[in-house]
Amino acid sequence: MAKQYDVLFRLLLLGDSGVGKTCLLCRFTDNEFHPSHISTIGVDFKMKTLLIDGIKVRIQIWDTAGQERYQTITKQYYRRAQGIFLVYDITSERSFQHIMKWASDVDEYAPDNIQKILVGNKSDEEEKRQVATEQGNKLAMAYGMDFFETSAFTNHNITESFTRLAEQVLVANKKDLDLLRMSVTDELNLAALEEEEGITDGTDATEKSCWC
Amino acid sequence: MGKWEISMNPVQEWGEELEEGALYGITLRREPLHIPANPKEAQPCVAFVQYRTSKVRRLKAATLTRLVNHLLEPCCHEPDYRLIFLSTYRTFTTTRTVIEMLFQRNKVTSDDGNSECHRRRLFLLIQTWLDEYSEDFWEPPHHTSLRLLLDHLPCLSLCSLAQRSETLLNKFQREGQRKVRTFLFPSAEAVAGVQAEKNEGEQCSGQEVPYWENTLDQGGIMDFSVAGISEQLTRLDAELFVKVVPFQCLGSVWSQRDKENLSPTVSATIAQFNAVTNRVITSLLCCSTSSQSQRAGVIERWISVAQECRQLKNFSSLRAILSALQSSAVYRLRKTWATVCRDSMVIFDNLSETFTDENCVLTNREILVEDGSQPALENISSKTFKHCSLSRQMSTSSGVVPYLGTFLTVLTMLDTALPDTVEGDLINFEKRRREFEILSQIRQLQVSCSQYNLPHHTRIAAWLLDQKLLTDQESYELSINLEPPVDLSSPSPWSHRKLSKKLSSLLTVTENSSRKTHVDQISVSSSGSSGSDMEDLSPLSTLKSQSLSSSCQNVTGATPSSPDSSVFSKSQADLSAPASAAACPKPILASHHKRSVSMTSLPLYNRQVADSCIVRVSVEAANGNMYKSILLTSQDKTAQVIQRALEKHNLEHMNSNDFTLRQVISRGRELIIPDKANVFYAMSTSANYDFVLHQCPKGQKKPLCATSSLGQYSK
Repeated sequence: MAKQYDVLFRLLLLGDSGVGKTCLLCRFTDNEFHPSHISTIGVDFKMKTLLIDGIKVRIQIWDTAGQERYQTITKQYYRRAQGIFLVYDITSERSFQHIMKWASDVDEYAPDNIQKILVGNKSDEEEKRQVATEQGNKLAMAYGMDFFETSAFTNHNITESFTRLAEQVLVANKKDLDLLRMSVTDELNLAALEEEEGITDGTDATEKSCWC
Repeated sequence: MGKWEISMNPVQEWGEELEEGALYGITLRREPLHIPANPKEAQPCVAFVQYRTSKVRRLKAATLTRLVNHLLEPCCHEPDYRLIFLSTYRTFTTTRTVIEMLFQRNKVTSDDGNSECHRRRLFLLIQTWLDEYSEDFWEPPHHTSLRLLLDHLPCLSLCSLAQRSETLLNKFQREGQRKVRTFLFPSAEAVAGVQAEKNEGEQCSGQEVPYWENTLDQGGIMDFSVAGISEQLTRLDAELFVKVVPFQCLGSVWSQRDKENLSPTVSATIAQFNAVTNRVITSLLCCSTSSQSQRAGVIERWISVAQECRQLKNFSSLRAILSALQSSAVYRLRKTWATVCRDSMVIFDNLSETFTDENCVLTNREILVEDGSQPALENISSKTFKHCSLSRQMSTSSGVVPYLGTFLTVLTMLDTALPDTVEGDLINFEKRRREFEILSQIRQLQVSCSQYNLPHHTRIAAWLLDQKLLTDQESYELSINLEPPVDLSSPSPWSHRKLSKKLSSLLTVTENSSRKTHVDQISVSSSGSSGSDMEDLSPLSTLKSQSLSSSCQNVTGATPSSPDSSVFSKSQADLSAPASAAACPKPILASHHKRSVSMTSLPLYNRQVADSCIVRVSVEAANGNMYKSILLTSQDKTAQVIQRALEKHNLEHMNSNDFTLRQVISRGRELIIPDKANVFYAMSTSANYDFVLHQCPKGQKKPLCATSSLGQYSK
């Protein structure tokens, strides 16, 4: 029985409404995203599995699109996420300015080792650009984040930015990861041992490890 | 295989048909054909069923003209088409355009022999439009579309409709003069209402409510009844929710950025939601003189209100209260939370678990169907609120105020995922059909709201409105003032709680496996006794609600009654013990152990991490066991710790009142933990976490009594 994944991360998309958070999500999870799924079920998050450094990383992406104005709701997610996308729209100066607010919110309320990445979306709309790439770079530097300009429309940098954040989360939890690996190995030994003893038991406790 | 599928699925996608300016989706619907029973043949011949297949055309995409024409076509298979169109057309056109097109078309076809039928369909359409979507015609100051409609109607001798439109126009004009549309400024209106009622000498509309609940002008949450608050919240929420224009919830309307707010009715519900969260936060933080226990009382109160809201199926205020209690400023008040009584914590955990975002759509759907999903919750509530829940449920049987945010997200996602137009620039009507499914759920819930019949509590209404709005920053600062941060690096209880849950699920797995024995051996290694651990399970499970809810403020992952919980609390306590104990037996055990440690903040011996730690308790002059390790949390009172220690030492037959708990500070020096102390806070953190149970000489009272809160040194 192959394991579906080794670890599970929760990533959260933050940013003003209309910056294209949901578009990014749709694009990224393309293969698992069928419009037919959303009619009745809620899509509070979407899933995708990435293979990073030999580890099957299942990422669960939260998108609270449409709920930005509920003051306390989005913040409830901060505590439960390991990584955060701060998304603005390169054609909207305002959405860029708001990144500062979102970022300081995260600094204030999110766990210390939460990983962040800055994303300037809609890079295909060059003619309407209001925020220079350099500005994005600068801000990202100031907050010590990586920075990507993306386009959900042309699929530019979508996988890259999601993978990058997932990698960062992995690194940030490296210690845990090593322990997980060891325990996985032990698990195998244990399984072998049990077989010797004639006990068959298919439990794999680590199958759904989740760091949260 | 193919045959099998066909026989399983009565509806089959067949394909698409493209006509000029319209794309139809074709489905084949198979329905059993009922042959009129011939009494002679009936019995032998029922071995097969005959089916009839009918072809159903569904307009998937079309030009605007075709969409409008389809409204009046006789061959319209889809009964909901009219409603879907009326609910969503403003995303791709205007009211005025549709009216023009309808009547233009009408001129063309008026010579038709079918004109009577045609007129009939037009009548029905406009009737629905005026009755259920009157909002569409609100175009101050002139309401031109409505006037246009008025011009056309009499020509077609649709006089009754003309009359209706006239009435609507008059109504709009009156409202225009007042300049207050009811949905626009609900809070202003509410304030005005409250003021008016105050002026009328506290006469209130609706049902009269006895004023036993208010004592002072300056009321606070403790002055009002739980039922009163939840009723008033529900009343306000329901009022606002009923006024929501479903169209305004659509992703393309609501999620507009940098544009003036096109969804005032939606904003109004959110403003109310935010007002409730703010009310919760201010009631806790804006009273700098309050003591910890007073604040804990306020938290308990709000939890009760949340629970009542759940009973009333007011999921909006329920979410508002829960999210406010979980907001950083409130949530970080660890000492306050530690004083919140267990019953409340159990309710709180249950509610938060049930109404998290992940399953809140599910929850909403459950509500739509029926809501018998939470037996555990009902049990708790019936215990706590038996006196009012029964009668309430009868009287307001199925009013529901949903948390609208869920719908907004789903609609935003639909809007993002589905294109507005498809090839050939046809309007993607399939998208509108999908959106309509959600909108009709909202409508359905709005209808249910009319079933509420709640009294109006004027004082509570005034109290809810009269509040200082706090920014996140302000509330955070207030919170810091109340409880200064102790250890910035220590993880929040919340992460600890998640962690514990995680751990419990890991350990649950081990329960069924042979490794269980290994787990048990860990505690054996530290205690020296053997075989007793299996029995330990049962007394521990009787303690479950304490150990579980206290250890992680969490009953969520494992319901209290489940066998897992005992394994969990037990194993957690036992597992971690050898972390610092020198002997760490087998490599297999190490794996368990490592994995647990990898979850970061597991309780450790000699260190208080988050809200828990491991202590070792021995019994003075007892049965030869050295010590037993016990998981101590910030919720544990002395008596419970003694009880648990006795159980661990197989001394549960002893009366825990005969023992005192002392921490061994150094050789010959002991810290007496008072009877009713919270051991976690009373203990010395600079000494080893070693405790000893002293048995008091018979008949002698315990050396220290309840009230003292500080430990005393004794020689």
